[in-house]
Amino acid sequence: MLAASRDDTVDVDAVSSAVRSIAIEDDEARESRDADGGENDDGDDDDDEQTNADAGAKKKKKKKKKKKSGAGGGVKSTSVQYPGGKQTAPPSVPARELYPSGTYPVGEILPHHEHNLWRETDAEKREIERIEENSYNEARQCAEVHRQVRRYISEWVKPGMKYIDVCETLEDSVRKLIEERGLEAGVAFPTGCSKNHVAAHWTPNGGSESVIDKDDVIKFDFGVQVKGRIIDCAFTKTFNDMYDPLLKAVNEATETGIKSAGIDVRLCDIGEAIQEVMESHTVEIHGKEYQVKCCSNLNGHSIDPYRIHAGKSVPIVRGGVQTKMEEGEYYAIETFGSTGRGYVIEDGECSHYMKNYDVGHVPLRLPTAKRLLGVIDRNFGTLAFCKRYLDRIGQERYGMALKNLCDNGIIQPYPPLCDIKGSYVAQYEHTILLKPSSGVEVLTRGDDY
Amino acid sequence: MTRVVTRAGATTGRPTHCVVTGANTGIGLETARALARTYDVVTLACRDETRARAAMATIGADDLCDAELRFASLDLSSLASIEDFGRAMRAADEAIDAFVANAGVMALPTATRTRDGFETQVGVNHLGHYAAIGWVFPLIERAGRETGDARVVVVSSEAHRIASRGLRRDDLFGETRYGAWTQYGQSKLANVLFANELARRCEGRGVTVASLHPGAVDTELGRYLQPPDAEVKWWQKKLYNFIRKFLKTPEQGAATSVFLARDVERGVANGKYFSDCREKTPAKTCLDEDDALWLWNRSAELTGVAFDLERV
Repeated sequence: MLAASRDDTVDVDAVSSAVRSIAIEDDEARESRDADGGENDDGDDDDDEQTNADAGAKKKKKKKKKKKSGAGGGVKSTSVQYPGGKQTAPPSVPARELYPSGTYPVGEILPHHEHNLWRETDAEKREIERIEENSYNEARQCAEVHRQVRRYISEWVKPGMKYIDVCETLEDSVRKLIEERGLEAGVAFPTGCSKNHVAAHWTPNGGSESVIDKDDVIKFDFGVQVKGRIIDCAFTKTFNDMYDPLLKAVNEATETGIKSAGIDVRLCDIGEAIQEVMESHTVEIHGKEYQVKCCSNLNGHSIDPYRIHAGKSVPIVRGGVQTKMEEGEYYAIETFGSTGRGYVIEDGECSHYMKNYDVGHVPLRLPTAKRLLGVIDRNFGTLAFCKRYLDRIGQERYGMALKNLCDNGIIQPYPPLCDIKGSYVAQYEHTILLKPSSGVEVLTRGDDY
Repeated sequence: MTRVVTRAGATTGRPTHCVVTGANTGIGLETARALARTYDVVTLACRDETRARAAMATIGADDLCDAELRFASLDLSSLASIEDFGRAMRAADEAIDAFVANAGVMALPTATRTRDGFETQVGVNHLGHYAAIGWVFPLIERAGRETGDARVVVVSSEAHRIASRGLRRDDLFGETRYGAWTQYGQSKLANVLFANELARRCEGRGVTVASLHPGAVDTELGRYLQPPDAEVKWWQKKLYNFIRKFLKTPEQGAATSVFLARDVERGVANGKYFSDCREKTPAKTCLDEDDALWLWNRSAELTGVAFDLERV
């Protein structure tokens, strides 16, 4: 099956379905293990024909399945067979070697909404899409790296580990898989691992002693980039099935957002659809009932090359702007469900920073600030970074210089975003691509979410 | 990484509230309609209740607008009516997240006076709004304190360039020589000067004040261009139909107001002049801080309404 897809590189769909069937197969195996008590391991290598056929039907079932098995599963599923071999645990084999053809699996393609169906047959739109195929492939490479890394991390991470160790393992894996080379390929932004009431933008700073607790709700939000093409994708990890309804609510909301997205769709309509689904859920946590609320001031966003937060925001509540999505745009669709008040404020020690995209030349007085800005320009450009990344490239005692850059408006700090203490926030996020002809591609779709 | 966009009211949990003057027709109606999609409460401050109710019915029929619509009686040509409006708003005691000063009259052929003896164009377009905003300013300021994002949007016009010699301090009401368009120019210049002065005084209070040019829009504003008793000639109709093709529709005209009242990032637009949703440099006369200060004090004298705002 895999050989076939390797030969047939023109038909990208074949590759995608083949790869998707790996996932399905793996799930199949898992399912049968569950059913038969482990008798029928790896039994169905050959019936991918059939699994392909009802892939659609399996989708829903699959998702639920994963969550259950994800919580207690071992690390055995990392031994998935890719066209070019197997991935190690922790991941270290570059994605390029696992896909020797250089063509990476296509994400899930959602057909256009009805009024856009003409695009599927329109010669011009198909041509535009063919021309762009190379850049899509780069994005797919990032997405594949994201899938492989998160597959390992979500099964390996356990209570008692230090946040900083988890983050560094994760980032090292990403760097190896994407074969980091300066600004051309690497980590796109700091690994968010915000826990509980912290919704986003928290990552341990150097020397942090924070340890994962068994009741933590951790949002792993990390990104991969090749030539500035950023993939932004996140999931929530818990070790207690009490949180499963919350995760389910948020995942459903994100899926709703993805389904409503499309060319010419108004951003406000997406926000409204997301809110409706999210707030239809109630969850019971520590014996108390909550209605899940959207974090109203958090947004998805369009992504441009080397610019994680490009022009447009995708709200997750009603009342957004009526700007429309357009052909060829990349979007991070992310939703946050909270048991708190449903909006976040900046609080706590800052770790995330990013150079303002629009800033021109600003004269600086402080020599250390000048020097630091040079370092940032060379290493991160307009990509986000955190203090650990500065430590990693050998910077020391940069606190004053960094503050000076922030005061001058060159660097923007992104402090942690928190709901009220004692609340729990969950997040799911995918990167989607609005293709001119074939539909919406959910680049980061995996068998897990 | 996620993006944070904080919208008015989002951090307080209370319903968001905006006020649009002259919202019964034209740009005001379209502005109110667009804002009713995002704000929770929209107050239409109009002179004529029946026409306002009709406008509310139009907006209510739009199924995207689920805001609560309210009517407030406000006749900008009468200080007494403005005072009633102000007292009613203060009594309701709800913070105002956005105030769109949209109502206006244009090019009255002869000099007329408001009930308080002001020349109508300057009286309604500027002094009326000065007094109305003055009355409700504590509510706007409160929204600014709560969310850091209250907005005052003053609809001016490119016609402010007519007043190329600047504000006529000695003859604000055109008493020595009345010119329909001269006075309109004066009133629109006064709008920009007022917005700029208010913006300067609101610095650091979480209130953003901006003025704008809506464009040449096909609305009722041209109602005085044709003498009411004169017969409409056939060629006038033809000409008008031809000109209409080059005018903006009210929806298009409302775009900049809506952009400033809702979409633009907070604080960015403070003290600036916009046209077609973009910042534009107004005439030099608008940047005269002395004139702005003089107008501010003179308006306070004439209307008897004072803002509790020191010039920073």
